[in-house]
Amino acid sequence: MTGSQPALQVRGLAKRFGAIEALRGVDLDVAAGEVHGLLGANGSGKSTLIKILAGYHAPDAGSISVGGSPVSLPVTTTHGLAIIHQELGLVEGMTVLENLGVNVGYGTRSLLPVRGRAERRVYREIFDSLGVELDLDQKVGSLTPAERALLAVARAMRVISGGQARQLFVLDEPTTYLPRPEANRVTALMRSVAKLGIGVLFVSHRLKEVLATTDTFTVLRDGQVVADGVTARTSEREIIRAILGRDLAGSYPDKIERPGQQDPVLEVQDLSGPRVQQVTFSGYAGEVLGVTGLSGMGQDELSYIIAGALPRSGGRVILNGTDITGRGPRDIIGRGAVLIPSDRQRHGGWLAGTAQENISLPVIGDFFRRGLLRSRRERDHSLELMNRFDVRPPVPENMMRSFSGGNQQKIVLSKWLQLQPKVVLLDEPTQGVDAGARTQILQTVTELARQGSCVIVFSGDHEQLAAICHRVLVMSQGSISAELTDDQVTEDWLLSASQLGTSARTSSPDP
Amino acid sequence: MPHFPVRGPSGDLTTKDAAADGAGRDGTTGARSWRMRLRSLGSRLGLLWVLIALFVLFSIWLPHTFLTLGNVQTMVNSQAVILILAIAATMPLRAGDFDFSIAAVMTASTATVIVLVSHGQSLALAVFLALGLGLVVGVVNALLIVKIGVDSLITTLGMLTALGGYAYAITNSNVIVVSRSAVLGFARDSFAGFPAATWYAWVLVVVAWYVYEKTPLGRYLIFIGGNREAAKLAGVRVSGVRGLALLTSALLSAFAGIVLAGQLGAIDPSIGSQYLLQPFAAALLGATTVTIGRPNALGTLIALYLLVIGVTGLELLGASSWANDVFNGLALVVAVTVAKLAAGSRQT
Repeated sequence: MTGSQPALQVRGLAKRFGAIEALRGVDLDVAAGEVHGLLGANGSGKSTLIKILAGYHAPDAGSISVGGSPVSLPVTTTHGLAIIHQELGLVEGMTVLENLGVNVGYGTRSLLPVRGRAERRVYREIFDSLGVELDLDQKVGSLTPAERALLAVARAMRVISGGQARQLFVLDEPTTYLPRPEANRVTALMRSVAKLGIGVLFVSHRLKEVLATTDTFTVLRDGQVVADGVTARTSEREIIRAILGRDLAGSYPDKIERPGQQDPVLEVQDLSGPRVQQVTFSGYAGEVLGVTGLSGMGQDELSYIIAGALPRSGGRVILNGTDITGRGPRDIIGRGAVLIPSDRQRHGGWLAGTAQENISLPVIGDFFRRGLLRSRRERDHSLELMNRFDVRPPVPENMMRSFSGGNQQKIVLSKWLQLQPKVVLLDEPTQGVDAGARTQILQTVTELARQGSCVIVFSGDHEQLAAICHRVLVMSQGSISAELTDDQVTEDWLLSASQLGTSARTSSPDP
Repeated sequence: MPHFPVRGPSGDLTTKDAAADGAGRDGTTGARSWRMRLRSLGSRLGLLWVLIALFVLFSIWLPHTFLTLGNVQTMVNSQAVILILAIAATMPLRAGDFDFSIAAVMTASTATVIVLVSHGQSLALAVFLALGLGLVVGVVNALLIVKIGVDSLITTLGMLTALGGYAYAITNSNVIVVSRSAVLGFARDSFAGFPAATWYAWVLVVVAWYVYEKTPLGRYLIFIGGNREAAKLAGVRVSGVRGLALLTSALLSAFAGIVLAGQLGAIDPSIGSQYLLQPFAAALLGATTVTIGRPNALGTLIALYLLVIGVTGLELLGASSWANDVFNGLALVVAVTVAKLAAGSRQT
């Protein structure tokens, strides 16, 4: 039931952030009654486009019309489109019914009684029309992630049946955290919504899902539309080429055996956590190992589980032949493995503390001699480290907050690397760091491996991984979907392996 | 083995340069930093200057009542128990937890001592059981707040109310007085012109200063208060340290109760409310001085004496006893406001 009337029409949309042109003249059409896929790599302009639709950014140029009527820019709330973000905006402690009514004032006025029975009838009808089965009195906290996504969609549908005509649903990565069968329930729901004559814009990194669900698609790259058309008439290969901007040469080459037999420093066996599923790999002395994946695929969580900072639900971690499973950060640090978090503000350091206090924290006991903290010695030690890591200005008394992002990260690095760890888990080591500091940090990282440490970099920055790693694990939906070694570790391969995620695995002979 | 793209030689050079540069800079700043340190000391002791100014003001205004040895001794001695409580409060505060139960632990401890002694039990047993009470409350607080993760403010507020009830229960809601000889010596024996109670408090200030500023534990406490998650990831035993702080505050409060029993030789179960706010006013106002933004021992001492000078001066000028509440209440609000503004200005 592909309608001819456009649900969404975007013309010449442009947006610039400083020197970066996030969008340069994007056209996008979503017809009523169809599911349209929006594809693109990180930084292609997808999220800027969604944020403009959500009214979060004002565009520099261009026009948007919903349901045939032009929308004044910037977009404000009620223009006939409903956006369902990755974070669904549900309250876990409340019931399904309570969550459903919140955006329509529970169908009544603020101080008038909520008519429970009428409310229930309205949502039963919506659930029926969409083929959703949910208990209205269940707490949202007990729903599966997929059920929550269904709930969020049903909630947005109420606005339509409530008379405020909505023409377009935008679903921004609704399936990212969902395992496959669960995700299928959400994509099936998108089809049901489209059948009601509403346009659906589906944003996803999962190519397979987009191919299976959408009628038409648009690919963005560097802020421009590089491909669009009817999904059924386009091959997966063409779409990948559009996303990457280059061709993918052949299939994956054979895996290369690692040179030199040695015992691993770190062995991770079947490790599982909230989002990580049965991850197994080994880390060796002197290597820089990368772990990557699209956001939300579990790579960020993996580092914290290995370091003992997040609970695990199964599996083992062996460090230097000793089982460290279930031990806390203190024990694991003592055995020579450190986690260097990316979030300096929340996990890396104490911004209201001085550089010296941040640096000396893990070794503060060394400066406690004959019943006193030897602050002179502590200061000398911190100053020496700040100089060695080229922290500017090298003043140990300055508050952590007063340093730039790059210098803060160097302080955090020096705090950990003074322990001369055998295994270093680096979480996005150069996030929010300027170009100069980035080079220095990456030099430090490679130097560390050269001196015999096992360095594991968890990052979504493929360029960086390609430059420093000689082995990279790609994660998809919580488990390792590909391992790239030596000459496979290129930006192109990393990008395509991350984008394909599961399809890289399913393309191998598998029943 | 794999090879890495390391710009080795140039990297080494920069390192050496930076080190030499830094050493030179450090050497030249030696003399300057001495003067700067003095100046920063001046601003860090802002509250002390206010205290001195207030003292001088009241001394000139009321030379015959305020500026007398008796008044100064009274001001100092009347604050002994509150000072012990204020120091008790600083420890969990440093680690980012509120312990509002301290005043009630103190009352319960005083009640325990006085009731047992009035029933003819030995003072030693009474003191032992009062400290035991503090230990139990500390353990319960620590388990609820650290182990289970209940909000510290609510937990200790509940504990405050429950322990207040306990004091009424064991005293049958009566004021109980014991004979002077039974407990008085403990807190009233004087040394160098000040009673033992005051000396206990001062020694405690020194010990707390030592622990906070000169030991790794003090650093762990303040780091946990500053960023609990970062401290945990750095291998600090966050739960252990927080638990220890709550245990210590409860034990010190029980000790304060024993000292109070010695001072009064009596228990009035309603006394706790007078001790509720002042320790926090002192601890939080104290956090705006000496080590700015951090609850600390010397700052607490200065803040408490500033408060008592203000209240005493106002009372001697004719304000009635409500001045105490108004002054302390406002000081608490001013303290947290100043702390917030200071933190804000440092952020920008």
